[in-house]
Amino acid sequence: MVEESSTTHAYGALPFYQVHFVVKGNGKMFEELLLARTRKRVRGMVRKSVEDVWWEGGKIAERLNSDTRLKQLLLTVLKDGDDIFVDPVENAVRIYSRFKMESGVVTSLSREVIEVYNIISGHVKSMMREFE
Amino acid sequence: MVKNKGAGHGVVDASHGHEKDTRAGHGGGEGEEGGEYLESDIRMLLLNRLRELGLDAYMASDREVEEGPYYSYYFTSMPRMVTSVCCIKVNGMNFDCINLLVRG
Repeated sequence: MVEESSTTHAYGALPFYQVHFVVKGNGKMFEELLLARTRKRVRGMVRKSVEDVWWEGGKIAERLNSDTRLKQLLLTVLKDGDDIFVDPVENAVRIYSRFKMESGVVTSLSREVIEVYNIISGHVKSMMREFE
Repeated sequence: MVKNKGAGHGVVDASHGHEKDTRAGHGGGEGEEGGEYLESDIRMLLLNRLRELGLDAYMASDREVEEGPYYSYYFTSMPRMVTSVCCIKVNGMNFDCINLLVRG
C-alpha cells in the first residue's frame, strides 16, 4: 500500500479548485475602497462574444474601468472565463474567479489571464499605498 | 511504501548500459521510481503550467496566507468550507503569491 500524505484529498466527489492571487496587507482597512467585481454583457449563445466589460464596487472600480489595456484583455479572458472578484480580507486582498474542475483550473491559466491578475494586483497595491 | 517494485515488470535492456522502462505506456503502477509517469498532483500541474508560461514560480509555504480567512463574504455563493492546497510564489509579479483552494 502506498502511504497517503495528510494533504491528499479524497476523490469520492470530484474536487473543485479555485486560484487566488493574493496581495498581502490589511485588507479590512480598505474594505470599502477595494471591494469590486466584473460585470459583462454577452452576445450570442453558440458563438458567444463579450460586448462590454465593466467593474462594479468601491473606488478601485473607477481605476480599473479607466485602464484600457485591462479592459482589452478582459474582453478576451472573460469570453471563456467567469467573473473576477477583488475581495479584501483581514490579512490580504484576494483576487479570484469562480471554482473550476481539476482539468479546467490548470488549462484556464494563460499569459493573458496572468497579465490581467498582475494588472489588478498593481492597482490594488498602489491604492493601498496611497490611502495608508 | 513500494520500492523497486518494477524489477519484474519493466523491460531492462542491460546491453546498452542503461535501463529502458516501458511501463509508462502500459499503465504502470503506483509508487514506482524512475521512468515516465503521468503527473497527477494538482500542485505540480499548476507549478509546471506557470513555468511553461515563462514565469519564475516556486512552491513556498506561507502560513499567513494559507491559514487566514479566504473570503469576506460580501459576495454571495462563496463556500464556507474550503481547504488551502498550496501556495506558489512568482518572482517579478505584483501579487505576493498564488493560493490554490479546494472546496470541502
